Amino acid sequence: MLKLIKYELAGRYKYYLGFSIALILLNIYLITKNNTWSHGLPFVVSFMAGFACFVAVLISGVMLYQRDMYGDTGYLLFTLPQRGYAIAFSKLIISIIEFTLFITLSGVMAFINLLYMHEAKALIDTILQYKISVLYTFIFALLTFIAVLVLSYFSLTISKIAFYNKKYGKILSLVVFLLISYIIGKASGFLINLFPYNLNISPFSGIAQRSGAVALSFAVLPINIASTIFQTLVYIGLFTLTSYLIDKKIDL
Amino acid sequence: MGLILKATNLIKNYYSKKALKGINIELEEGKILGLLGPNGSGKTTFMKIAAGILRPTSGEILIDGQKPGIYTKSIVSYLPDINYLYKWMRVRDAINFFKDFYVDFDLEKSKRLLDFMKLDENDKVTSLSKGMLEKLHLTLVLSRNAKLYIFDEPLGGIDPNTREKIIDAIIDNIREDSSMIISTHLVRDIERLFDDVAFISDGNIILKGNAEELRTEKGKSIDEILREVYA
Repeated sequence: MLKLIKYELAGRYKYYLGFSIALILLNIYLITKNNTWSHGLPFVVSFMAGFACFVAVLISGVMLYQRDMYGDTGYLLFTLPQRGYAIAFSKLIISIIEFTLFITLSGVMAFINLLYMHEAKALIDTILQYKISVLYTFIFALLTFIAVLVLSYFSLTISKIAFYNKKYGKILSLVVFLLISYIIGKASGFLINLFPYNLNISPFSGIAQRSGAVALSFAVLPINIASTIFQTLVYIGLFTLTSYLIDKKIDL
Repeated sequence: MGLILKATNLIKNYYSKKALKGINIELEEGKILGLLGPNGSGKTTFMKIAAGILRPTSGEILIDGQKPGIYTKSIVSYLPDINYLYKWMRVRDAINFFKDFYVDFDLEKSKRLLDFMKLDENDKVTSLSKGMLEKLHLTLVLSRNAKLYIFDEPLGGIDPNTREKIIDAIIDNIREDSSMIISTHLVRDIERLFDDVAFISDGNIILKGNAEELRTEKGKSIDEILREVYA
């Protein structure tokens, strides 16, 4: 599996370098505009760039898997004497690396932008005081990211097996993705009603109470225990099933 | 001699289209089989099943006594009829990729083949012509000391000079203990390699046997027999 990761990285490091430089240059440009643009706008643009990074990394993660599942390079990858889980997991690891790299970089750049913003001292102090909140947000976003990718891998694989036609296969994979998302959402809602026991993590409670500058509408992050266990099992199951399908059922 | 490949009543359907209609093929160790037939006859489908990237609808295929899977992929060296290398790769990267993933990859052999094919390790895969790309694919596949080589149209779209070079490379690198399946519709160029031939049409094997015996029996070359069969 490490070899698979090595070759994926070898093929992508130039994009990482280019994208990182572009992100840094954009933020440097935004910093220089702090005195000319309207109040806080450079920070808002920087923050939006970070969100765009999240979307780009997510699309990149799906495309990374789709490229080999639906493209000619699948003939290279799937004829290797490698287990399905190694192939799927290597893709997931690459995407997690991309997520960590670009979300961290865009977060740091947005914070630097904030440092140059006028009258942002209260917000900066709050962020520095509650660094754990940033970590919670990052972990939450990462877990969501992984869940979406695992579901995408399954949808793309099952659709490829069901449809030999590439075009219809991709459309079907989107339908499967939406359908399973809907079912998981409904089942989670049902479990939340049935077992309304939460694990209340309170990363934002201090901020909400102490800082008037940050208007957060929630004080605690309620994590329903039953729903969380259910979703964890579902995504592990989907990943295992995807690995099995690659090993036993794949039709290129 | 043992069997390296045995396909029994192999059927593959794509919805209502029947690509393979009950193929029975046996290949002994050390033999070269020519799988001959026009486009769309089922050659590629059969080879993809043997390579482990397509599942049969029914029937069975055994490679070295095992169903297609991790083990068979480690002993089968498959050359598809498309460019399957990553666009970012240079020739050197492709060589290293194969060396890292296949324990039977012979680096020295690959260097010799690169020289023979006049390929530069620093060339980008995307900059290679179709003929050069085919030579690179062949270099990669032949550099493995595999038990079974599967070549899907190795001469397709290649000019005659390059064709000769590719055939020479195949001849020079055949080992006595390894077997080959070669599909092609350019039979005249390559028929001297075949020990056995199987003519496939519309998903069925319509004629098969020892190449020399067929030549003697029919008094014709395999190429002429092919033209007669598909006339």
